[in-house]
Amino acid sequence: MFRNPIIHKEVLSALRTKKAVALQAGFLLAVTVMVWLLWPAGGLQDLGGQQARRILSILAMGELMIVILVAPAFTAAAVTSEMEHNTLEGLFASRLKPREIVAGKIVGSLTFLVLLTLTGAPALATPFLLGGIGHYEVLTLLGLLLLTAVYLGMIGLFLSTLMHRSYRAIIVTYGVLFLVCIIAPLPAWPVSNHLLARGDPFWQNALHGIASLSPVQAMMSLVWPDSVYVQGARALPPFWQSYLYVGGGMIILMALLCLWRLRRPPQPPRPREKLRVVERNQVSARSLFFLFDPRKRKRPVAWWQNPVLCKEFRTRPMLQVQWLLRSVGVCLVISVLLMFLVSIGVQAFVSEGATSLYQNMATAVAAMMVLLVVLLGPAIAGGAICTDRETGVWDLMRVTPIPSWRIVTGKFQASIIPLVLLILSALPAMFILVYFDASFAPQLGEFIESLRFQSIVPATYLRVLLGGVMLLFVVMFFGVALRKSALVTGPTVIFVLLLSAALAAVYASFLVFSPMLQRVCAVIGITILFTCTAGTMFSSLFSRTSAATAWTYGLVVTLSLLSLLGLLIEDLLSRRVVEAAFLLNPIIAAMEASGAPGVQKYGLLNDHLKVMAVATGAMFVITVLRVFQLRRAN
Amino acid sequence: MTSEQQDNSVVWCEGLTKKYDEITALDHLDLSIPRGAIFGYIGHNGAGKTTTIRILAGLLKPSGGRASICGVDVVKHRDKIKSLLGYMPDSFGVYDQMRVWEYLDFFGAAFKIPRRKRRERLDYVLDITDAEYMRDRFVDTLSKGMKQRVGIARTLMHDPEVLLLDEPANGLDPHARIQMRQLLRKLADGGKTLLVSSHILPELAAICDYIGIIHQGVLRACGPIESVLRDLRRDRLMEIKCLANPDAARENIQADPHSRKVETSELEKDVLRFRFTGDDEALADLLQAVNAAGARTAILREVPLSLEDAYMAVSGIDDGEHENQDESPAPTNEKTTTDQEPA
Repeated sequence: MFRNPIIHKEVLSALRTKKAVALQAGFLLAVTVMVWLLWPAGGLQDLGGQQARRILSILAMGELMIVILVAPAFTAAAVTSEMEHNTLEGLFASRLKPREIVAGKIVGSLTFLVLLTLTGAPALATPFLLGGIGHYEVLTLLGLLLLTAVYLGMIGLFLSTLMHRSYRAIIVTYGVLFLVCIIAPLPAWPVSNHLLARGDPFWQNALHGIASLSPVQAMMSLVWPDSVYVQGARALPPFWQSYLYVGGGMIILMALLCLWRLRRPPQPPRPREKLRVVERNQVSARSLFFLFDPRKRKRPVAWWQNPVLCKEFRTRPMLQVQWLLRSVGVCLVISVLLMFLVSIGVQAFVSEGATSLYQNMATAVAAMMVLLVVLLGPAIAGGAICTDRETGVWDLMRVTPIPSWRIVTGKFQASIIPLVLLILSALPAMFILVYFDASFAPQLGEFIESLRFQSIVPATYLRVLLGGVMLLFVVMFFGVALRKSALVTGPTVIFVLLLSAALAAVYASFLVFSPMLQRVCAVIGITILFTCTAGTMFSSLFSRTSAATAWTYGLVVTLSLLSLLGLLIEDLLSRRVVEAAFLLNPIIAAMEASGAPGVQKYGLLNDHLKVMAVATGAMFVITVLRVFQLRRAN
Repeated sequence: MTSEQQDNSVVWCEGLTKKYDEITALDHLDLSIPRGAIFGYIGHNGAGKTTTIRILAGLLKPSGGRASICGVDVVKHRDKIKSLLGYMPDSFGVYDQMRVWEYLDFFGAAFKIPRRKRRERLDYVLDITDAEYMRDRFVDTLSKGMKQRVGIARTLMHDPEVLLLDEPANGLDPHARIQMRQLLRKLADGGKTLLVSSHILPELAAICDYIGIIHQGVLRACGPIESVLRDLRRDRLMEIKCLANPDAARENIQADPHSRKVETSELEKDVLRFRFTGDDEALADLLQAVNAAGARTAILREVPLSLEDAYMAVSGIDDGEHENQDESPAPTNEKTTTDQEPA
């Protein structure tokens, strides 16, 4: 195995890069800061080991989060980068057997990840100095971390064999890790009303197995065995023990799947259909049922449009209208599902002391909306500029007279618009809460009541509206039947305009009357701006989309998820440190904006908005300057 | 270079230099291309062709010297030259999920061409590049030859004066190369000035009005193609066919002070080849001497100098150094013997 040239090449190229040094330094710095912050300031020591155990648990959770964040960056591009450089077929043309290629890729891409995890071992050992804990506890934690690094790395590697582009592989890997780490253990969490503990043994076993997929659940069950989050069925073993088997099994499964995928060189992506175009004066059934037909001939870029923005919407798969509409629909459904989930387990989801059901639900929904931005934003914004550099189009853009600021604003808008649409589609869940809880918007109910009773003939309005909509649909139907495009396009435009106007009116009225909604929207708005600017900035600083996407995820997830650990150790840290950690956290800000009492004591909302606005502005300026530099003759 | 030359030139460079630390990629380049000409820019990989083109396109800052397009300085007025030139790099990127007309429309809009005019230009460039049938295809699914056509169509969208084409025939099959040649000629006939770089010499020999041969950053020869070949013809390669007594002919030629490197053709034993440095008078004397020795000369001819020979002579590349000319065709049969020497 050690004569495998791929291992030599992978390990050497991973270790000799500046990125490797920076990452190791960053990792060490992060764990050092954690130890420094957690170390007891007073001279009193807890001989029972409670203090040391607590510090150990926090360190382990912190390192686990870092491993989850870093793992995809190393393995998710392992195979796709070979494809992008056209070197994979060369490997298959050599005398190396497929299993040697797979083994080389696995060992090569995981070596650095394992080394990185081991780098954190001394930090894990520091609680020894406080006494009260045994070496087996530290070794178990370290073993769990190593298993997690290999397990998550293998998931990234397998997904890398399925994709053709590195940045897509990274995005999908982060999505899958979110499912594995956060969604899989939901049946064991109070938010699902402890679904796992109910039902027959088969059901319990199945849910226990699914929850054991999550390294977060395993680590929590090891370090906080009494937490309400890890109370599974009584007869079943602790999650961390099951995780050892499930994780090990998944590693073997992923290795076999990699071997199956790479038994021969991956085929290039299937060519798309080439010539089917629906002319603007033609009518297709899609126009009626999907509002937008992706095959319809698009209009040339108009004088008032930013050509870069138009180009982004036409070329990036996630921004194409049909996909946007589908995403908006999915968000609507998710927001309703979320309402359902939250309503059945809301009491345990938020911090102690929360009494109002609506209050807790609003907190959860606001936090989830911010999480949506945090998870999707980097995927949309991370490739804004470097994709053009990777494909070689950037040089063509440089010889056009488009100014730098127009390029940046075009790219920037292309990232913001889909996120805003997705959030708008998730907002109805919040509106329902606002509508049903008078404490959120006392005047709103009165306003709606006044509309209802002061209207002379309210039912007539409704009938006219419904009749009008029906008429539009009838006209569209005849348009399709008679193949008259004007009869389809006209009503579609009127319908979309009416719908938009109605939605805008509803959104505006809710916003005007609900200060809570205003605060939440401000937080979400600034989070969208921050995430998109960070993504655009990183994509201007790096030449590869995969690196830019990984860095954007790293920044945004560190700010919003890693600092949440502070909630668990509030009593160990000084208030200033906790405030500093929470100041940049959009989830904490959203919770505070929605009135969650657990975080309202910090009163960071206004400062958060200001700091985020300044950071966003600074990043925007950096991006414009960097684009200006990239466009200059050099 | 005089100011008069500069006035008549569409593309003009003087003392253009580009240094990367210790490496000199371009060394005091002087260049002048008149309007409507096709300028073939020849050099092997890394000779400095792309560096020159990127400086002219305003993408690279020169370390020294001056360059202008239509009288506009490329360093001082980068924004102005953008509308004057169309640049096609060696390998240019295309967008995913974008049809050919959308691709061209985007670049037209980027050059701020009004929508109505843009539509007309789009039809025109698709027509002139014979790419009309690709209009609704996705750019990223096109073949290399088709992409090159779309690339040229893109450079023509804003109707530039000058086209800078970096290796446009690179990677094309023979049929596509012929089409590319015809297209370039058509563009030059339409009044465009073209700077075309290539290391595939027959491509350029067939279409260029002017050539420049660059080697290791230094322009070794430049001017009208015939003039360059004539200047390089100081050391003429001659061929003589003797129907009788070839040994006597050989002795006479070897004895002549203007002749050297006399060799017998491998294919025809009665054919001799030799290098001759004298003028036509000296050649007539030699012919007389050979015939007097009873050789019965049937043919005496000068082997025409090809662009490849000129390039090889100017760049001083011997056969051993020739290995990086991987895409050049095999040498012609005029130089099958071992008489390659720098001029």
